[in-house]
Amino acid sequence: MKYQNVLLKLGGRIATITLNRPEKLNAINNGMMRDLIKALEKVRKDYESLVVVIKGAGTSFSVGQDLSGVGTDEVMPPNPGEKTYLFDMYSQGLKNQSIWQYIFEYPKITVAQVHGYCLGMGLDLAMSCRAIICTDDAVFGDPSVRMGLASANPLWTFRVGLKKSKELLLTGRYIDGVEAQKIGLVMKAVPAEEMEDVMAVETDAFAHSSGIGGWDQQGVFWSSWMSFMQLAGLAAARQMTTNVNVMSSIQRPHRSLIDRGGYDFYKVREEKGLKAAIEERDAPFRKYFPEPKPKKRK
Amino acid sequence: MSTVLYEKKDGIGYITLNRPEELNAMNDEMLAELDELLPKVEMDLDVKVAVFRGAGKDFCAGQDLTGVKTYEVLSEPGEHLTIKKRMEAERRRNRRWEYIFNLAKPTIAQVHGHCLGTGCYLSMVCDITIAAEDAQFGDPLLRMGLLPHMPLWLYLVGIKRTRELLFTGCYIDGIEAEKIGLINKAVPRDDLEDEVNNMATGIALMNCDALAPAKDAVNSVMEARGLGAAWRFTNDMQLVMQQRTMLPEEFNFFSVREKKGLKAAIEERDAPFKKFCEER
Repeated sequence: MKYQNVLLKLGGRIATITLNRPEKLNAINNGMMRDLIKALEKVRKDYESLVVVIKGAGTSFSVGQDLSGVGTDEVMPPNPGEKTYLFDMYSQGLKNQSIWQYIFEYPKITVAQVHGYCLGMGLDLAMSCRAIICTDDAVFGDPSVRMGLASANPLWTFRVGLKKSKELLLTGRYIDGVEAQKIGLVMKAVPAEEMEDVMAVETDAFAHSSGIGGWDQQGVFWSSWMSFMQLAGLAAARQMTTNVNVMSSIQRPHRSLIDRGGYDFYKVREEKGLKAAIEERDAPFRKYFPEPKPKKRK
Repeated sequence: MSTVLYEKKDGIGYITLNRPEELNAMNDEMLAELDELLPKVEMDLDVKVAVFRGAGKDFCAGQDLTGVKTYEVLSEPGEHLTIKKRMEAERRRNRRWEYIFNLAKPTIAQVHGHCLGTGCYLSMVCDITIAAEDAQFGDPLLRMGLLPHMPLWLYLVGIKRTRELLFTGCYIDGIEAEKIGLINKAVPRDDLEDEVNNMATGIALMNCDALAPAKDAVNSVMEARGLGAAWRFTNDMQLVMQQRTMLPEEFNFFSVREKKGLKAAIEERDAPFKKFCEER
Protein backbone atom coordinates (compact mmCIF):
# COMPACT_ATOMS: atom_id res chain seq x y z
CA MET A 1 0.00 0.00 0.00
CA LYS A 2 1.16 3.51 -0.76
CA TYR A 3 0.98 6.21 1.85
CA GLN A 4 0.99 9.86 0.99
CA ASN A 5 2.14 11.30 4.28
CA VAL A 6 4.23 8.60 5.90
CA LEU A 7 6.88 6.13 4.78
CA LEU A 8 6.65 2.59 6.06
CA LYS A 9 9.61 0.24 6.14
CA LEU A 10 8.92 -3.38 6.96
CA GLY A 11 11.13 -6.44 6.94
CA GLY A 12 12.97 -7.78 9.95
CA ARG A 13 12.31 -7.22 13.63
CA ILE A 14 12.27 -3.45 13.49
CA ALA A 15 9.68 -1.55 11.47
CA THR A 16 10.04 2.15 10.78
CA ILE A 17 7.34 4.70 10.16
CA THR A 18 8.62 8.06 8.96
CA LEU A 19 6.36 11.08 9.10
CA ASN A 20 6.83 12.52 5.65
CA ARG A 21 5.74 16.09 5.14
CA PRO A 22 9.22 17.59 5.61
CA GLU A 23 8.36 20.90 3.94
CA LYS A 24 5.67 21.41 6.62
CA LEU A 25 7.98 20.18 9.40
CA ASN A 26 5.73 17.11 9.56
CA ALA A 27 2.75 19.05 10.84
CA ILE A 28 -0.04 16.58 11.52
CA ASN A 29 -3.13 16.98 9.35
CA ASN A 30 -6.03 14.61 8.62
CA GLY A 31 -4.12 12.74 5.95
CA MET A 32 -1.04 12.14 8.06
CA MET A 33 -3.02 10.96 11.04
CA ARG A 34 -4.97 8.50 8.87
CA ASP A 35 -1.81 7.22 7.20
CA LEU A 36 -0.07 6.85 10.55
CA ILE A 37 -2.89 4.70 11.90
CA LYS A 38 -3.02 2.63 8.71
CA ALA A 39 0.73 2.05 8.85
CA LEU A 40 0.58 1.09 12.53
CA GLU A 41 -2.20 -1.37 11.76
CA LYS A 42 -0.08 -2.88 9.02
CA VAL A 43 2.87 -3.29 11.39
CA ARG A 44 0.63 -4.74 14.06
CA LYS A 45 -0.38 -7.55 11.72
CA ASP A 46 3.18 -8.16 10.55
CA TYR A 47 4.33 -11.09 12.67
CA GLU A 48 7.99 -10.48 11.98
CA SER A 49 8.27 -6.98 13.42
CA LEU A 50 8.63 -6.61 17.17
CA VAL A 51 9.50 -2.95 17.48
CA VAL A 52 8.24 0.07 15.59
CA VAL A 53 10.24 3.26 15.35
CA ILE A 54 8.38 6.48 14.59
CA LYS A 55 10.50 9.34 13.28
CA GLY A 56 10.28 12.42 11.10
CA ALA A 57 11.69 13.13 7.64
CA GLY A 58 13.63 16.37 7.13
CA THR A 59 14.66 18.74 9.87
CA SER A 60 12.07 17.89 12.54
CA PHE A 61 10.12 15.10 14.16
CA SER A 62 6.87 17.06 14.08
CA VAL A 63 5.82 20.60 14.95
CA GLY A 64 2.38 19.37 15.99
CA GLN A 65 -1.05 19.99 14.61
CA ASP A 66 -1.21 21.52 11.18
CA LEU A 67 -2.49 24.99 12.06
CA SER A 68 -3.21 26.05 8.48
CA GLY A 69 -6.88 25.18 8.87
CA VAL A 70 -6.89 23.25 5.57
CA GLY A 71 -7.59 19.53 5.80
CA THR A 72 -7.26 19.60 9.57
CA ASP A 73 -10.83 19.24 10.83
CA GLU A 74 -10.04 15.79 12.24
CA VAL A 75 -6.99 16.86 14.24
CA MET A 76 -7.83 20.45 15.17
CA PRO A 77 -10.93 21.59 17.01
CA PRO A 78 -13.23 23.40 14.58
CA ASN A 79 -12.90 27.17 14.47
CA PRO A 80 -15.42 28.34 17.05
CA GLY A 81 -16.13 31.36 14.88
CA GLU A 82 -17.88 29.01 12.48
CA LYS A 83 -20.69 28.24 14.93
CA THR A 84 -19.88 24.57 15.18
CA TYR A 85 -22.17 22.38 17.21
CA LEU A 86 -20.80 21.57 20.62
CA PHE A 87 -21.36 17.90 19.96
CA ASP A 88 -19.16 18.03 16.85
CA MET A 89 -16.33 19.54 18.86
CA TYR A 90 -16.74 16.93 21.54
CA SER A 91 -16.77 14.04 19.05
CA GLN A 92 -13.63 15.41 17.45
CA GLY A 93 -11.93 15.63 20.85
CA LEU A 94 -12.89 12.09 21.79
CA LYS A 95 -11.81 10.73 18.43
CA ASN A 96 -8.38 12.29 18.84
CA GLN A 97 -8.14 10.87 22.33
CA SER A 98 -8.97 7.39 21.08
CA ILE A 99 -6.06 7.67 18.63
CA TRP A 100 -3.61 8.49 21.44
CA GLN A 101 -5.05 5.65 23.44
CA TYR A 102 -4.59 3.31 20.48
CA ILE A 103 -0.92 4.29 20.17
CA PHE A 104 -0.32 4.17 23.93
CA GLU A 105 -1.83 0.69 24.15
CA TYR A 106 -0.17 -0.55 20.96
CA PRO A 107 0.88 -4.15 21.56
CA LYS A 108 4.42 -3.81 20.16
CA ILE A 109 7.18 -1.62 21.51
CA THR A 110 6.93 1.85 20.02
CA VAL A 111 9.95 4.17 20.04
CA ALA A 112 9.83 7.81 19.04
CA GLN A 113 13.12 8.89 17.49
CA VAL A 114 13.05 12.65 17.90
CA HIS A 115 15.17 15.36 16.31
CA GLY A 116 14.48 19.02 15.60
CA TYR A 117 11.08 20.21 16.80
CA CYS A 118 8.66 18.03 18.70
CA LEU A 119 5.79 20.29 19.71
CA GLY A 120 2.13 20.13 20.63
CA MET A 121 0.50 17.17 18.96
CA GLY A 122 3.91 15.93 17.80
CA LEU A 123 4.84 15.65 21.45
CA ASP A 124 1.50 14.00 22.25
CA LEU A 125 2.45 11.40 19.65
CA ALA A 126 5.96 10.94 21.03
CA MET A 127 4.66 10.72 24.61
CA SER A 128 2.18 8.05 23.59
CA CYS A 129 5.08 5.88 22.45
CA ARG A 130 6.68 3.64 25.06
CA ALA A 131 10.06 5.35 24.79
CA ILE A 132 11.45 8.58 23.38
CA ILE A 133 15.06 8.79 22.28
CA CYS A 134 16.08 12.23 21.09
CA THR A 135 19.00 14.34 19.97
CA ASP A 136 20.31 16.61 22.71
CA ASP A 137 19.34 19.69 20.68
CA ALA A 138 15.79 18.52 19.99
CA VAL A 139 13.14 21.00 21.14
CA PHE A 140 10.07 19.91 23.10
CA GLY A 141 7.08 21.92 24.17
CA ASP A 142 3.34 22.33 24.16
CA PRO A 143 2.41 25.93 23.34
CA SER A 144 -1.36 25.21 23.32
CA VAL A 145 -2.04 27.59 26.21
CA ARG A 146 -0.63 30.46 24.16
CA MET A 147 -3.53 29.95 21.76
CA GLY A 148 -6.05 29.54 24.55
CA LEU A 149 -6.18 25.75 24.37
CA ALA A 150 -5.82 23.37 27.31
CA SER A 151 -3.74 20.28 26.64
CA ALA A 152 -5.84 17.16 26.10
CA ASN A 153 -2.89 14.89 26.85
CA PRO A 154 -3.37 13.15 30.23
CA LEU A 155 0.09 11.55 30.23
CA TRP A 156 1.93 14.66 31.39
CA THR A 157 1.70 14.22 35.15
CA PHE A 158 2.47 10.51 34.82
CA ARG A 159 5.57 11.25 32.74
CA VAL A 160 7.16 14.30 34.35
CA GLY A 161 5.25 14.86 37.59
CA LEU A 162 2.75 17.47 38.67
CA LYS A 163 5.01 20.49 39.21
CA LYS A 164 6.87 20.20 35.90
CA SER A 165 3.64 19.48 34.00
CA LYS A 166 2.12 22.68 35.24
CA GLU A 167 5.25 24.71 34.66
CA LEU A 168 5.47 23.61 31.03
CA LEU A 169 1.75 23.69 30.23
CA LEU A 170 1.02 27.04 31.91
CA THR A 171 3.95 28.80 30.23
CA GLY A 172 4.09 26.94 26.91
CA ARG A 173 7.85 27.00 27.43
CA TYR A 174 10.13 25.03 25.09
CA ILE A 175 12.91 22.83 26.47
CA ASP A 176 15.82 21.06 24.82
CA GLY A 177 16.61 17.36 24.81
CA VAL A 178 19.01 17.56 27.72
CA GLU A 179 16.41 19.14 30.01
CA ALA A 180 13.80 16.72 28.68
CA GLN A 181 15.98 13.84 29.82
CA LYS A 182 16.55 15.48 33.20
CA ILE A 183 12.84 15.79 33.93
CA GLY A 184 12.07 12.29 32.66
CA LEU A 185 10.20 13.22 29.50
CA VAL A 186 12.56 11.19 27.33
CA MET A 187 14.53 8.01 27.89
CA LYS A 188 17.74 9.30 26.42
CA ALA A 189 19.16 12.45 24.79
CA VAL A 190 22.18 11.82 22.57
CA PRO A 191 24.36 13.88 20.21
CA ALA A 192 22.86 13.89 16.70
CA GLU A 193 25.83 12.14 15.14
CA GLU A 194 25.43 9.22 17.55
CA MET A 195 21.69 8.90 17.04
CA GLU A 196 21.70 6.13 14.42
CA ASP A 197 24.13 4.00 16.45
CA VAL A 198 22.21 4.47 19.67
CA MET A 199 18.92 3.65 17.95
CA ALA A 200 20.45 0.50 16.44
CA VAL A 201 21.56 -0.70 19.87
CA GLU A 202 18.40 0.29 21.74
CA THR A 203 15.93 -1.07 19.19
CA ASP A 204 17.94 -4.27 19.03
CA ALA A 205 17.67 -4.56 22.82
CA PHE A 206 13.93 -3.84 22.68
CA ALA A 207 13.50 -6.40 19.91
CA HIS A 208 15.41 -8.94 21.96
CA SER A 209 13.22 -8.45 25.02
CA SER A 210 10.12 -8.40 22.82
CA GLY A 211 11.18 -11.73 21.41
CA ILE A 212 11.07 -13.39 24.82
CA GLY A 213 7.91 -15.43 24.80
CA GLY A 214 7.03 -14.16 21.34
CA TRP A 215 5.37 -10.92 20.38
CA ASP A 216 1.90 -12.05 21.36
CA GLN A 217 2.97 -12.78 24.93
CA GLN A 218 4.57 -9.35 25.05
CA GLY A 219 1.29 -7.91 23.84
CA VAL A 220 -0.57 -9.66 26.64
CA PHE A 221 2.00 -8.48 29.18
CA TRP A 222 1.54 -4.93 27.95
CA SER A 223 -2.23 -5.08 28.13
CA SER A 224 -2.05 -6.27 31.73
CA TRP A 225 0.32 -3.40 32.42
CA MET A 226 -2.20 -1.07 30.81
CA SER A 227 -4.84 -2.21 33.27
CA PHE A 228 -2.67 -0.81 36.07
CA MET A 229 -2.57 2.50 34.26
CA GLN A 230 -6.35 2.52 33.87
CA LEU A 231 -6.68 1.69 37.55
CA ALA A 232 -4.31 4.54 38.35
CA GLY A 233 -6.82 6.86 36.72
CA LEU A 234 -5.67 7.11 33.12
CA ALA A 235 -9.02 6.08 31.61
CA ALA A 236 -10.95 8.73 33.53
CA ALA A 237 -8.16 11.24 32.96
CA ARG A 238 -8.53 10.83 29.19
CA GLN A 239 -12.21 11.67 29.40
CA MET A 240 -11.65 14.59 31.75
CA THR A 241 -8.82 16.23 29.80
CA THR A 242 -10.93 15.89 26.66
CA ASN A 243 -13.75 17.70 28.44
CA VAL A 244 -11.52 20.55 29.52
CA ASN A 245 -9.81 20.71 26.13
CA VAL A 246 -13.17 21.04 24.35
CA MET A 247 -14.24 23.64 26.88
CA SER A 248 -11.11 25.63 26.13
CA SER A 249 -11.50 25.33 22.37
CA ILE A 250 -14.95 26.89 22.51
CA GLN A 251 -13.45 29.93 24.18
CA ARG A 252 -11.51 32.46 22.10
CA PRO A 253 -10.20 35.87 23.09
CA HIS A 254 -12.53 37.66 20.69
CA ARG A 255 -15.52 35.98 22.26
CA SER A 256 -14.24 36.41 25.77
CA LEU A 257 -15.84 38.95 28.06
CA ILE A 258 -12.45 39.51 29.52
CA ASP A 259 -10.11 40.03 26.59
CA ARG A 260 -7.17 41.13 28.66
CA GLY A 261 -3.93 40.10 27.06
CA GLY A 262 -5.48 37.25 25.12
CA TYR A 263 -3.94 36.33 21.80
CA ASP A 264 -6.38 35.68 18.97
CA PHE A 265 -4.55 33.16 16.81
CA TYR A 266 -7.39 32.68 14.32
CA LYS A 267 -7.78 36.39 13.70
CA VAL A 268 -4.07 37.00 13.15
CA ARG A 269 -3.85 33.97 10.87
CA GLU A 270 -6.67 35.37 8.77
CA GLU A 271 -5.08 38.79 8.52
CA LYS A 272 -1.38 38.01 8.20
CA GLY A 273 -1.03 34.35 7.42
CA LEU A 274 0.04 31.26 9.33
CA LYS A 275 3.73 31.97 9.72
CA ALA A 276 3.16 35.44 11.15
CA ALA A 277 0.47 34.09 13.48
CA ILE A 278 2.81 31.50 14.95
CA GLU A 279 5.63 34.03 15.25
CA GLU A 280 3.36 36.55 16.97
CA ARG A 281 2.11 33.83 19.29
CA ASP A 282 5.57 32.97 20.58
CA ALA A 283 7.49 36.25 20.30
CA PRO A 284 6.34 37.93 23.55
CA PHE A 285 7.42 34.92 25.61
CA ARG A 286 11.03 34.71 24.41
CA LYS A 287 12.05 37.46 26.79
CA TYR A 288 10.93 35.42 29.78
CA PHE A 289 11.50 31.88 28.59
CA PRO A 290 14.59 31.57 26.38
CA GLU A 291 13.74 29.40 23.40
CA PRO A 292 16.17 26.62 22.57
CA LYS A 293 16.66 26.04 18.85
CA PRO A 294 17.77 22.85 17.09
CA LYS A 295 21.20 23.15 15.49
CA LYS A 296 21.17 23.74 11.74
CA ARG A 297 22.38 20.74 9.76
CA LYS A 298 22.76 19.90 6.11
CA MET B 1 -5.08 43.08 57.22
CA SER B 2 -1.97 42.33 59.18
CA THR B 3 -0.86 38.71 59.09
CA VAL B 4 -1.29 38.59 55.32
CA LEU B 5 -0.23 41.39 53.01
CA TYR B 6 -1.55 41.78 49.51
CA GLU B 7 -0.16 43.78 46.65
CA LYS B 8 -1.11 43.90 42.98
CA LYS B 9 1.41 44.77 40.28
CA ASP B 10 1.55 44.17 36.51
CA GLY B 11 -1.02 41.43 36.48
CA ILE B 12 0.55 39.61 39.41
CA GLY B 13 -1.02 39.35 42.87
CA TYR B 14 1.56 39.04 45.65
CA ILE B 15 0.26 37.36 48.77
CA THR B 16 2.78 37.74 51.58
CA LEU B 17 2.54 35.80 54.82
CA ASN B 18 3.41 38.40 57.39
CA ARG B 19 4.33 37.17 60.84
CA PRO B 20 8.08 37.40 60.36
CA GLU B 21 8.98 37.17 64.07
CA GLU B 22 7.05 33.89 64.27
CA LEU B 23 8.62 32.58 61.04
CA ASN B 24 5.24 33.20 59.41
CA ALA B 25 3.69 30.34 61.36
CA MET B 26 0.06 29.79 60.47
CA ASN B 27 -2.49 30.62 63.13
CA ASP B 28 -6.24 31.17 63.08
CA GLU B 29 -5.93 34.81 62.18
CA MET B 30 -3.68 34.18 59.20
CA LEU B 31 -5.98 31.50 57.84
CA ALA B 32 -9.04 33.68 58.31
CA GLU B 33 -7.34 36.44 56.37
CA LEU B 34 -6.31 34.05 53.62
CA ASP B 35 -9.87 32.73 53.48
CA GLU B 36 -11.11 36.24 52.98
CA LEU B 37 -8.44 37.30 50.51
CA LEU B 38 -8.21 34.35 48.15
CA PRO B 39 -11.72 34.52 46.62
CA LYS B 40 -11.06 38.18 45.84
CA VAL B 41 -7.77 37.33 44.16
CA GLU B 42 -9.42 34.54 42.24
CA MET B 43 -12.15 36.76 40.85
CA ASP B 44 -9.91 39.72 40.04
CA LEU B 45 -9.50 39.71 36.25
CA ASP B 46 -6.49 41.99 36.45
CA VAL B 47 -4.57 39.36 38.36
CA LYS B 48 -3.36 36.62 36.04
CA VAL B 49 -1.19 34.79 38.49
CA ALA B 50 -0.86 34.74 42.29
CA VAL B 51 2.50 34.56 44.05
CA PHE B 52 2.70 33.27 47.64
CA ARG B 53 5.72 34.39 49.61
CA GLY B 54 6.86 35.01 53.17
CA ALA B 55 8.00 38.22 54.88
CA GLY B 56 11.30 38.17 56.73
CA LYS B 57 13.70 35.24 56.73
CA ASP B 58 11.28 32.42 56.01
CA PHE B 59 8.46 31.30 53.77
CA CYS B 60 6.50 29.59 56.54
CA ALA B 61 7.59 27.37 59.40
CA GLY B 62 4.22 25.61 59.46
CA GLN B 63 1.52 25.50 62.09
CA ASP B 64 1.76 27.94 64.95
CA LEU B 65 2.54 25.57 67.82
CA THR B 66 1.98 28.01 70.67
CA GLY B 67 -1.52 26.72 71.28
CA VAL B 68 -2.85 30.26 71.45
CA LYS B 69 -5.52 30.93 68.85
CA THR B 70 -4.47 27.97 66.79
CA TYR B 71 -7.72 26.04 66.84
CA GLU B 72 -7.70 25.73 63.05
CA VAL B 73 -4.19 24.37 62.73
CA LEU B 74 -3.50 22.35 65.86
CA SER B 75 -5.67 19.99 67.76
CA GLU B 76 -4.77 20.23 71.44
CA PRO B 77 -4.90 16.92 73.30
CA GLY B 78 -6.64 18.37 76.33
CA GLU B 79 -9.61 19.54 74.35
CA HIS B 80 -12.57 17.27 74.73
CA LEU B 81 -14.11 18.02 71.42
CA THR B 82 -16.86 15.96 69.96
CA ILE B 83 -16.05 13.99 66.85
CA LYS B 84 -18.36 16.26 64.90
CA LYS B 85 -16.47 19.37 65.96
CA ARG B 86 -13.15 17.81 65.05
CA MET B 87 -14.49 16.63 61.73
CA GLU B 88 -15.76 20.09 60.92
CA ALA B 89 -12.33 21.54 61.55
CA GLU B 90 -10.62 18.86 59.47
CA ARG B 91 -13.01 19.29 56.57
CA ARG B 92 -12.51 23.03 56.68
CA ARG B 93 -8.78 22.54 56.50
CA ASN B 94 -9.09 20.19 53.54
CA ARG B 95 -11.38 22.55 51.70
CA ARG B 96 -8.76 25.24 52.11
CA TRP B 97 -5.99 23.17 50.53
CA GLU B 98 -8.23 21.95 47.74
CA TYR B 99 -9.43 25.46 47.10
CA ILE B 100 -5.91 26.81 46.66
CA PHE B 101 -4.97 23.77 44.55
CA ASN B 102 -7.94 24.42 42.26
CA LEU B 103 -7.84 28.22 42.29
CA ALA B 104 -8.88 29.23 38.76
CA LYS B 105 -5.57 30.89 38.06
CA PRO B 106 -1.94 29.84 38.25
CA THR B 107 -0.19 30.10 41.61
CA ILE B 108 3.53 30.29 42.31
CA ALA B 109 5.20 29.69 45.69
CA GLN B 110 8.35 31.74 46.21
CA VAL B 111 10.16 29.84 48.94
CA HIS B 112 13.11 30.86 51.08
CA GLY B 113 14.20 29.91 54.58
CA HIS B 114 11.98 27.45 56.41
CA CYS B 115 9.18 25.75 54.54
CA LEU B 116 7.90 23.15 56.97
CA GLY B 117 4.69 21.34 57.85
CA THR B 118 1.66 23.25 56.63
CA GLY B 119 4.02 25.83 55.12
CA CYS B 120 5.39 23.05 52.95
CA TYR B 121 1.81 21.99 52.16
CA LEU B 122 1.07 25.50 50.96
CA SER B 123 4.03 25.35 48.59
CA MET B 124 2.85 21.95 47.39
CA VAL B 125 -0.69 23.02 46.52
CA CYS B 126 0.68 25.93 44.48
CA ASP B 127 1.09 25.11 40.79
CA ILE B 128 4.73 26.06 40.58
CA THR B 129 7.32 26.26 43.36
CA ILE B 130 10.59 28.11 42.94
CA ALA B 131 12.88 28.08 45.97
CA ALA B 132 16.21 29.30 47.23
CA GLU B 133 18.89 26.62 47.14
CA ASP B 134 19.24 26.82 50.92
CA ALA B 135 15.53 26.76 51.67
CA GLN B 136 14.50 23.96 54.03
CA PHE B 137 11.61 21.64 53.27
CA GLY B 138 10.18 19.10 55.65
CA ASP B 139 7.18 17.71 57.46
CA PRO B 140 8.08 16.94 61.10
CA LEU B 141 4.49 16.41 62.26
CA LEU B 142 5.01 12.75 63.10
CA ARG B 143 7.67 13.65 65.67
CA MET B 144 4.90 15.27 67.69
CA GLY B 145 2.52 12.37 67.29
CA LEU B 146 0.50 14.23 64.68
CA LEU B 147 -0.30 12.78 61.30
CA PRO B 148 1.15 14.39 58.20
CA HIS B 149 -1.91 15.00 56.09
CA MET B 150 -0.96 16.01 52.59
CA PRO B 151 -1.59 13.38 49.92
CA LEU B 152 0.32 15.44 47.34
CA TRP B 153 3.55 14.15 48.91
CA LEU B 154 2.95 10.83 47.18
CA TYR B 155 2.18 12.30 43.79
CA LEU B 156 5.09 14.73 43.85
CA VAL B 157 7.95 12.66 45.24
CA GLY B 158 6.71 9.05 45.10
CA ILE B 159 5.97 6.47 47.77
CA LYS B 160 9.54 5.68 48.85
CA ARG B 161 10.67 9.26 49.38
CA THR B 162 7.39 10.22 51.02
CA ARG B 163 7.86 7.50 53.58
CA GLU B 164 11.48 8.44 54.14
CA LEU B 165 10.69 12.11 54.68
CA LEU B 166 7.59 11.61 56.80
CA PHE B 167 8.92 8.77 58.97
CA THR B 168 12.15 10.62 59.79
CA GLY B 169 10.85 14.17 59.70
CA CYS B 170 14.24 15.14 58.26
CA TYR B 171 14.56 18.35 56.31
CA ILE B 172 15.92 18.68 52.79
CA ASP B 173 17.29 21.74 51.05
CA GLY B 174 16.09 23.35 47.82
CA ILE B 175 18.58 21.50 45.62
CA GLU B 176 17.48 18.12 46.94
CA ALA B 177 13.83 19.20 46.71
CA GLU B 178 14.29 19.99 43.01
CA LYS B 179 15.99 16.65 42.46
CA ILE B 180 13.10 14.65 43.90
CA GLY B 181 10.36 16.68 42.21
CA LEU B 182 8.96 18.50 45.24
CA ILE B 183 9.65 21.85 43.58
CA ASN B 184 10.27 23.09 40.04
CA LYS B 185 13.54 24.85 40.52
CA ALA B 186 16.13 25.83 43.13
CA VAL B 187 18.06 29.04 42.50
CA PRO B 188 20.62 31.04 44.50
CA ARG B 189 18.91 33.06 47.22
CA ASP B 190 19.74 36.38 45.56
CA ASP B 191 18.13 35.36 42.27
CA LEU B 192 14.93 34.02 43.80
CA GLU B 193 12.76 37.09 43.45
CA ASP B 194 13.86 37.77 39.86
CA GLU B 195 13.30 34.18 38.90
CA VAL B 196 9.76 34.17 40.31
CA ASN B 197 8.90 37.53 38.78
CA ASN B 198 10.19 36.38 35.42
CA MET B 199 8.03 33.28 35.52
CA ALA B 200 4.98 35.21 36.76
CA THR B 201 5.36 37.99 34.17
CA GLY B 202 5.70 35.43 31.39
CA ILE B 203 2.53 33.67 32.51
CA ALA B 204 0.72 37.00 32.93
CA LEU B 205 1.07 37.59 29.17
CA MET B 206 -1.73 35.12 28.70
CA ASN B 207 -5.45 35.44 28.95
CA CYS B 208 -7.24 34.36 32.13
CA ASP B 209 -9.52 32.31 29.89
CA ALA B 210 -6.56 30.40 28.54
CA LEU B 211 -4.83 29.84 31.87
CA ALA B 212 -7.83 28.60 33.83
CA PRO B 213 -8.64 25.60 31.61
CA ALA B 214 -4.95 24.82 31.02
CA LYS B 215 -4.54 24.47 34.77
CA ASP B 216 -7.80 22.63 35.13
CA ALA B 217 -6.81 20.05 32.51
CA VAL B 218 -3.81 19.04 34.63
CA ASN B 219 -5.80 19.13 37.87
CA SER B 220 -8.52 16.98 36.34
CA VAL B 221 -5.89 14.31 35.71
CA MET B 222 -4.91 14.47 39.37
CA GLU B 223 -8.55 14.07 40.29
CA ALA B 224 -8.74 11.01 38.05
CA ARG B 225 -5.59 9.72 39.74
CA GLY B 226 -7.46 9.75 43.02
CA LEU B 227 -6.33 12.96 44.66
CA GLY B 228 -9.83 13.92 45.83
CA ALA B 229 -10.35 10.58 47.54
CA ALA B 230 -6.81 10.63 48.95
CA TRP B 231 -7.52 13.98 50.56
CA ARG B 232 -10.51 12.50 52.24
CA PHE B 233 -8.69 9.38 53.43
CA THR B 234 -5.83 11.32 55.02
CA ASN B 235 -8.46 13.55 56.56
CA ASP B 236 -10.16 10.62 58.25
CA MET B 237 -6.84 9.11 59.37
CA GLN B 238 -6.03 12.45 60.92
CA LEU B 239 -9.24 12.25 62.92
CA VAL B 240 -8.38 8.75 64.09
CA MET B 241 -4.86 9.85 65.07
CA GLN B 242 -6.26 12.69 67.18
CA GLN B 243 -8.20 10.19 69.30
CA ARG B 244 -5.04 8.28 70.16
CA THR B 245 -3.84 8.04 73.74
CA MET B 246 -0.17 8.79 74.18
CA LEU B 247 2.03 6.28 75.93
CA PRO B 248 3.57 7.48 79.21
CA GLU B 249 7.19 7.09 78.06
CA GLU B 250 6.73 8.71 74.68
CA PHE B 251 7.73 12.28 73.91
CA ASN B 252 4.74 14.44 74.62
CA PHE B 253 5.11 17.74 72.87
CA PHE B 254 2.20 19.35 74.60
CA SER B 255 3.24 18.57 78.18
CA VAL B 256 6.85 19.60 77.53
CA ARG B 257 5.55 22.83 76.03
CA GLU B 258 3.48 23.42 79.16
CA LYS B 259 6.42 22.82 81.49
CA LYS B 260 9.32 24.35 79.62
CA GLY B 261 7.87 26.53 76.93
CA LEU B 262 7.53 26.28 73.14
CA LYS B 263 11.14 26.74 72.17
CA ALA B 264 12.36 23.98 74.47
CA ALA B 265 9.60 21.67 73.30
CA ILE B 266 10.58 22.09 69.64
CA GLU B 267 14.24 21.64 70.58
CA GLU B 268 13.45 18.45 72.50
CA ARG B 269 11.31 17.21 69.65
CA ASP B 270 14.09 17.54 67.09
CA ALA B 271 17.19 16.79 69.16
CA PRO B 272 17.10 12.94 69.07
CA PHE B 273 16.82 12.98 65.27
CA LYS B 274 19.75 15.31 64.64
CA LYS B 275 22.33 12.55 64.43
CA PHE B 276 20.28 10.61 61.88
CA CYS B 277 19.44 13.48 59.59
CA GLU B 278 22.14 14.91 57.41
CA GLU B 279 22.73 18.49 58.49
CA ARG B 280 21.93 20.94 55.74
